[in-house]
Amino acid sequence: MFQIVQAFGGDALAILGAALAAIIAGMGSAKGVGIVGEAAAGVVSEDPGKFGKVLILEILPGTQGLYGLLAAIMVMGKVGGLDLASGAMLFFASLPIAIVGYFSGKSQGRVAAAGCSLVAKKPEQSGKGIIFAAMVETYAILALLISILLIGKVG
Amino acid sequence: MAILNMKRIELLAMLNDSKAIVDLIQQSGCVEVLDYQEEDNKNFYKLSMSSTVSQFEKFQVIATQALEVLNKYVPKESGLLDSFAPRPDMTVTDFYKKAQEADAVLSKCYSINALYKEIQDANTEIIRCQTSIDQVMPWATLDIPSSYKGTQFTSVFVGSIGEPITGEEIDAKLAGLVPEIDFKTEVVLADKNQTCLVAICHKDYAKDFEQALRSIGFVTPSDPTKHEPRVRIERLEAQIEKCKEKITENEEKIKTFAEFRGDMEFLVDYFTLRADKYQALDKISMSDNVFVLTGYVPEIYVEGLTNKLSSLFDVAISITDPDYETEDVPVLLDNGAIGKTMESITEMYALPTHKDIDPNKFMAVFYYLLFGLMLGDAGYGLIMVLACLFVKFKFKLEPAKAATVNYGLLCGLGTTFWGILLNGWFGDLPKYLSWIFSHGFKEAMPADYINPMSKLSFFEAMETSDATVVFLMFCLMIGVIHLVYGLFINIYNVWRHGNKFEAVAENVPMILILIGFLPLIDSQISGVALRRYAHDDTVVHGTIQKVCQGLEVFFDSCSTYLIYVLAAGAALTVLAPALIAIKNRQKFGKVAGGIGAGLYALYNAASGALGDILSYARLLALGLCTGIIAGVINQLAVMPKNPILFVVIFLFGHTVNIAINLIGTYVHTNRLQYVELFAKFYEGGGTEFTPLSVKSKSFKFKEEK
Repeated sequence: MFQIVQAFGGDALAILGAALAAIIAGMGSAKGVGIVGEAAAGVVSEDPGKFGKVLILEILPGTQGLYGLLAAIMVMGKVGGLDLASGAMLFFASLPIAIVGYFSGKSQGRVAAAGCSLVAKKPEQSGKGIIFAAMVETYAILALLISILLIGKVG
Repeated sequence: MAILNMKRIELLAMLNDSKAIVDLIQQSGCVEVLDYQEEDNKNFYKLSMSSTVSQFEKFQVIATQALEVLNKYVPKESGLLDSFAPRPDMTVTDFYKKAQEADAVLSKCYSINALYKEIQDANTEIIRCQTSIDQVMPWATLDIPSSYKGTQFTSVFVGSIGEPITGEEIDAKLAGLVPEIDFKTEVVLADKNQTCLVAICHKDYAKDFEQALRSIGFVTPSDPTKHEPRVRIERLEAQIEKCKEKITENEEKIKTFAEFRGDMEFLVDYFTLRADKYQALDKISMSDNVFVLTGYVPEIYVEGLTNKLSSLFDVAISITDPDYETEDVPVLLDNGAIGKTMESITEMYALPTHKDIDPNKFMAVFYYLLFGLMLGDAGYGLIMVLACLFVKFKFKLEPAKAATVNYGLLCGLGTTFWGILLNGWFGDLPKYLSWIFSHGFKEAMPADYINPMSKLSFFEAMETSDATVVFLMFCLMIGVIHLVYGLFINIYNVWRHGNKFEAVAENVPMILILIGFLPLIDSQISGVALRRYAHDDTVVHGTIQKVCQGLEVFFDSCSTYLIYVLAAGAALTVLAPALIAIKNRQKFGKVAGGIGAGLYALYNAASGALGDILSYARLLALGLCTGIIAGVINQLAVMPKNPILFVVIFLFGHTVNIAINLIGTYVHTNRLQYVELFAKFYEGGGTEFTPLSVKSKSFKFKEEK
């Protein structure tokens, strides 16, 4: 048993980390994009001409999922005969973007949904709505940054 | 100067000329008319034009509605790129000639709206009939009217029970309730919501029997039919048919108006123009014989306008300088082709005030560099360039649209520039193509060939942790340059207003801190990554390699000095408020307080500088995102080992990737401008210059010779 864990545990842990990065960050994005989508559909039902503006807002919380994917792919590149310690390190290295990606995606969704109501009332201020939403993303970027740097340190 | 100087114009002319003069001002489109108030003067009064204005606005709405209806039934043939096509020219004479037909066209608009109203009414009627049919439908097979009460000796009950139940069950229940009554029931229809039935009994027992029926949930229909239910259904269906005919008939009638679409588009513009003109007339003051019009005119148009007015009319014009301190003088920007592309970005933040510097031409260079670095793929960049060039040469673009197309073109050029440096061509397409050409589609690629981290040479440079760090440092380095650039603009702007000492004292410490931070971040993130890395010169590609080597030399030779630079910056930050106080010969207390303010400023500067610099990590994050996903798409495309599927997956995947990343890049480039760069020198909040002008969509005025 112990030998099996020693032989395959590293890869398994690393893949678990990669999977979590894609899953949890993706969940955050899915939730965020979903929230904005509902608000956006409401705005478009009143004025179809605002589709372009709310579409930009809707796509914004999607990036966290991409960052999760990015981290997962970087871990994937290292998989193959990893020892237990390296596997565990890759697992932990995946956590920042996984967890922060979830919350950042969700919160960005809420800000962007509020941005949609801004667009509904004052379409000329849509740029500000976009910037409010982009602020939330900074923390996903910082988390991705640290995940990438940590993944790079392994192996 | 990019923010145009404004002048105040005051115009006095004969009342008879007022409409002609306002027409001319509207066509010249360079005067923002002000509401003129002369409080003391009792000879001047105002004529309210609001009823005329609302009349024109009403007509405009009617024409717009009619045009919408027409476009719904006879869609305008338009290509994807037609919105770039220039509006046709029209001379003023033609305009007035066409304006005479306005009433005739307006009556056509009224007819279209009336026809459409009938269509809407018919649609409502269809829905109403359909609902009635749905109510009667369960009774369709009943061959007596549902209001039938019985014969001389019998009572008949027609109704339903709100649950599915069989005839036997009903009989059993009723027999249990009223065993003494002889009755008969027949189920007409039973579905999962209701059971429709007819019950019959002797007239003498009707009351008791009805009570028994009600106790098992029997209800009579709310709207019983006078004839057999089938008759009502037929009648309603005939009604629906009639409504449908009416709709088709009216649609055909509306379609016959298609040839007047151009006239209707003109009509919408015409009424907009008239409404605008009368809104302006609402603002002028008049006496019995003369009128006064005041407004703002950009200085460069003053001469042309006064010459034109005084050659055509008897006018007295006075031009004065506005008081920038007390008045909210509107802002009009004038930039060259490149600066103009940035105007929409700046406007989305806020227009500059007259105290600000116009940021457009300053931000352009970095904007396109940052945009390009975040997208960073020559393939994508070339697509953007080609698409924009195509539009540019196909249409004679009007200025506003030309700015949009130029914006796309420059973004494309920036992207291509970085794409070539980072060697990104649709991700790592060249690698796949060379494999396909040498080995064909059938042969699987060896595993190490499709290592996702070795996609672009860009990523080859990043196979090790050091490579990622090098690229990160490169991005942060660009960030520092960008921020320092912003501070230099601030120096220029404050200096320009005469506060030379403040300009230097407030900005130089921050510049020193930003530059001094760089080796600190380097050592914290990566140890001595840069210096170690630069010796392996096979990995880093092209220019980045050179820049990094340059950086290495730079840091090697002066990293110790940069610490002193940082220290000097910190010290100056603390001292700056006190120095400014001394320079302004303020009291000792203020100078001492300045030291406290300086310490606080140091804390802000340190945390702010760190946050600002790290924000540029998004260059790395977004750049990696585009590249890696592009690589994954290529990998998916070769998987089926089929040339057709390869092309399909390739086209679809990269289209989606471009679309998603374009939006992300657009947003984050803007953010870097607004939050990081603008915070250094720009305030904004100016009012837009909104001249009385010809706001037409379907034509534009041409000068008459």
